[in-house]
Amino acid sequence: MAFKSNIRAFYNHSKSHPLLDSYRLLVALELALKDANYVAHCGSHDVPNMLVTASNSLSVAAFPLVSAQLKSYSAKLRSDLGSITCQGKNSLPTPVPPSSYPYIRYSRCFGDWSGINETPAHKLTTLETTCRSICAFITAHSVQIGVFL
Amino acid sequence: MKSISEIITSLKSLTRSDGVDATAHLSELRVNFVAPSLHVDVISKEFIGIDTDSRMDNLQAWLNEASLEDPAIILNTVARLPITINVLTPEEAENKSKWFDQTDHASWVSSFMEEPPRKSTPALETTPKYVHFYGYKGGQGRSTVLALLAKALADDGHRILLVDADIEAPSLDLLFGVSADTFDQTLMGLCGWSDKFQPIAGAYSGRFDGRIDLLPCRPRIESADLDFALLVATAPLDSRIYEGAANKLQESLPKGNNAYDIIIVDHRTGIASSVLPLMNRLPGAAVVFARTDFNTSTVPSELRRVVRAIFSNTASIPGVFVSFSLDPNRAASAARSPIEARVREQLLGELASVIENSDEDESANQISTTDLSLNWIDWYLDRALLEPALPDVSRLQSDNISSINLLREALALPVGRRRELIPGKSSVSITGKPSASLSGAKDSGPFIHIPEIDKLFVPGNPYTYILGRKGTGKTRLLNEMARRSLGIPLLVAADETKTPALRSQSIESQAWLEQCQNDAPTFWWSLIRMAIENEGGLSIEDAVKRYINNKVDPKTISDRLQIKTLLLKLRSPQVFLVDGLETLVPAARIKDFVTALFEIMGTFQNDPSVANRLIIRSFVREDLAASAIQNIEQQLEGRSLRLKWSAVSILNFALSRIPTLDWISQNFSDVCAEIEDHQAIIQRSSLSEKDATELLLRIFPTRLRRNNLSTATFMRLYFSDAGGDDTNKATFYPRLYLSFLQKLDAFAAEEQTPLDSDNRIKSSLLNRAYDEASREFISETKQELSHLLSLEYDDNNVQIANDQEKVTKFINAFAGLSTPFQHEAIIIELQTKTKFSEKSVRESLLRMKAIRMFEDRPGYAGWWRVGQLYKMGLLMKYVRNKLG
Repeated sequence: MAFKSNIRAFYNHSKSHPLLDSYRLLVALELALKDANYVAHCGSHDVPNMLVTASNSLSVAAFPLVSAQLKSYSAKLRSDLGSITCQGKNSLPTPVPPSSYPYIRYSRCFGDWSGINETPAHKLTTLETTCRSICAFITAHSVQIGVFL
Repeated sequence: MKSISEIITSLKSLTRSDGVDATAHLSELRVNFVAPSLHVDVISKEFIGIDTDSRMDNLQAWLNEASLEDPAIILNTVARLPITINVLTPEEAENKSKWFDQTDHASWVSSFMEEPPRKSTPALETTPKYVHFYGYKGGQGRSTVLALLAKALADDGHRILLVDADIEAPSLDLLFGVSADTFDQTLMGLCGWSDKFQPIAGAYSGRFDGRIDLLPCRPRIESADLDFALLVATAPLDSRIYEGAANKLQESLPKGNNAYDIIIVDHRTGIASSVLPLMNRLPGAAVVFARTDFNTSTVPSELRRVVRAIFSNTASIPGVFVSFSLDPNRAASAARSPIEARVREQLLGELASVIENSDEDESANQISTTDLSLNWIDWYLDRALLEPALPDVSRLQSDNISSINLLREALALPVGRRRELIPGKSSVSITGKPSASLSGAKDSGPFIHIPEIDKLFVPGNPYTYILGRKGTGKTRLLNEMARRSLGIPLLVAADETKTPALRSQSIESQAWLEQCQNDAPTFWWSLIRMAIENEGGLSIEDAVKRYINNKVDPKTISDRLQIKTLLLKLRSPQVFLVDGLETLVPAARIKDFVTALFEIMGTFQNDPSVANRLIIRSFVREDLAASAIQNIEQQLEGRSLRLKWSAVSILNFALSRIPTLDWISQNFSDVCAEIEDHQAIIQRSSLSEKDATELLLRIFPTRLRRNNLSTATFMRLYFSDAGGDDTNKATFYPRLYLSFLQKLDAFAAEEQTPLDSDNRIKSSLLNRAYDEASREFISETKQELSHLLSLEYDDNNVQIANDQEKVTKFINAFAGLSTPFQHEAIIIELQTKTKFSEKSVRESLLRMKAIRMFEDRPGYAGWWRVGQLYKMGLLMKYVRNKLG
């Protein structure tokens, strides 16, 4: 069974797993950003670009550094998502498109694919850390950004 | 892996029909940069009715059809590189463009995308004028040339603001020797760290009221290091931080009489994110530093793009290249090497191309690079720049002086003096007859501006430690600052009566010291508290009197936290002036009081919340400051100013006092009339040494009979403590000069035949006046020495009434002793003559040396000699070849 780790992560929700935590945080972020009308233009799951839209909507005169940090997080999230290898629709290993985070559900977790094009465990941990940081930042600046988690 | 440009080219190919199909796959391709990624909008009717994943698949398939591309190039590119590919239908694209125009034009990415450069609109000429200094590589002299250009402009009376936008390695503050204590004073403040704008005023004070204010990038305090790193880390992701800073700068600039004439921005090298947003929002001219010493004759493509981007963003005036030659033998007349000539041609070609593009007349002719030959300025290695401090422009080698002048012309900056002098600042009139007097406190003659000292008259200037030797005009300066409402005097010299402050030897000051139990910190903190609460109401002396009468315990009003709270509540920031430290307490305790004051000043300096609420400017003798606290250099860095009179300034000072002398003004009325004609120049210390000497030599004889010395040499040599060599350490003494002139005037009035055959004052009268003035200077010094020296007898039974008498005895003991002398030997001689203990003689000599009464004899270890200024007063005998 190739998606062994993925199934366990999503099924056994009482036990923390970076894949599950990243995914649920990204779902929450996507919904909250959409709720504030910060949409992206390519794909409805493009959270990195939604963050840029949110950043550009801020008054830079009032919050110059909040805006920059959102862009910084956007770049970090884009890079973290793209560094994860997933099983593409054509059944070939492929990078997760940063504009469509749900692909992480099909990430080729370490140990499940006989060492072929697997995603190192630390990449998922890094993604989870980034997602947590973004959520914490948005929570701390919810009034300025207009996004409520 | 393909480059992004290649991928875009591949995508562009899909917008063209291949001749087989009637239509192309893509109807349009739009590329724009929305930080932090490049957005590529791929627009096709074939996307209608299908989901995003399928659109992406189609796009990949079309690319594969067109050429043998990487089969997953789209997915790989967007996953790995900062690029977003938006697959849109024409309708979606139209909707998007309606409300999603966030293209970041003022960015290097946008500039590098455009080929040829976008049509730039020349910005209108603005006031103030902005000039941007940029170099693709560092180490080309950019900041130095910028600072020298600014000095040249300030010396012609212009008001300059320098903005240090070299974000990652700022250094203009170090170049000018000043530093910001708070974010309010910095570019970081404008980037979000502060709501206020208070650049460092008077980083350099030029002639004719010109000056340079500085907005450093960051405060030079350790606690700001982390903030600085954070700005550098985050701002590149959002150019709007710099755009916002530029907008704030424009909004905050002073208007009217206080407006700046020119604002010069020093930029970061390379394609730093700060450069284009600031240039774009502060339109002006650009100076681009360019190296021509490539190994090839082709200018790298990215440099050509950079140059194009810079000039496109600053198109109001064409701009200039400055080329720094590393060849020490290179002169302006030297021919260029073929490679250098070609590089120059290519870079000027880029400038020509931008100018053509900014021309609104489409049919304009092409601009030849020869038309722009004056837009290329060479800069040469210069020995004057090896000195630690930035030199005056006049001290540069002639080719570089020409380069500075060319730079002014090419940038359309004013090439001459400011037409209207700034009103208000030069309002001190020297008309009328001020009564001249001996002491600095009582000298009411016109105040003579020394360029360095003029910095102090700029409100908000960073100089809080004003150091000077005895008799260099500290008291007079405090007086002048108080007169101009530039600070409230807190403590003043004992004989200062013009300013309502606590006088150092008054009954009130001594009584309050007693009440403070001579505890220095308590004394200062309580005094500061009184002054803050007073807010300029009562005189401090009256306030002290009230506290003494009310028997207030000083400890209860010297609580630091309470004082800080009071400071934060102040309606407006306060500036206190402190002088008279030398005579406040006896010698043994003076160091404690200087130390305590400096510690308090350091506390305010290092607390950003109060740094701008209270400024204490202390006027202290430099020998006292030198050992006041540990790390004194660090505390004083960028905040201290040394009172130093150069030959030219002292001669201007002497001229200014001539019309105040009764006999001389009656008998040399023509000279006095000429002095009056030049009074504005003299008051600014700007009459040249040659012209000033010429005027004085119409009153004085050409030579002095004693020593057969030329009077010009006498005037340079006898009033300075380093033989008039005008080194960094030497200074002239206005108090001695004034005293000499007054004595001369009095002696001439008494003399039956005061003039020689050339109708000049007799040589003998000059010698007599100098001797008398010198003795008087010593006598005055004695008063201060009684606070400086701590003389004790070997025999405890010997009692002499007071310190003053002990000092007189000690000074008199030097009469007849030889100079130069062996240090150890003179200790024994003095001990024998005075019966003071060896320890106190040794210490006294060291303290007298610290105030330059004695100096080392160069080349002879263990030997000292009397300072030039005190030779006459101490009546020591000069013995040639004393070493035998």
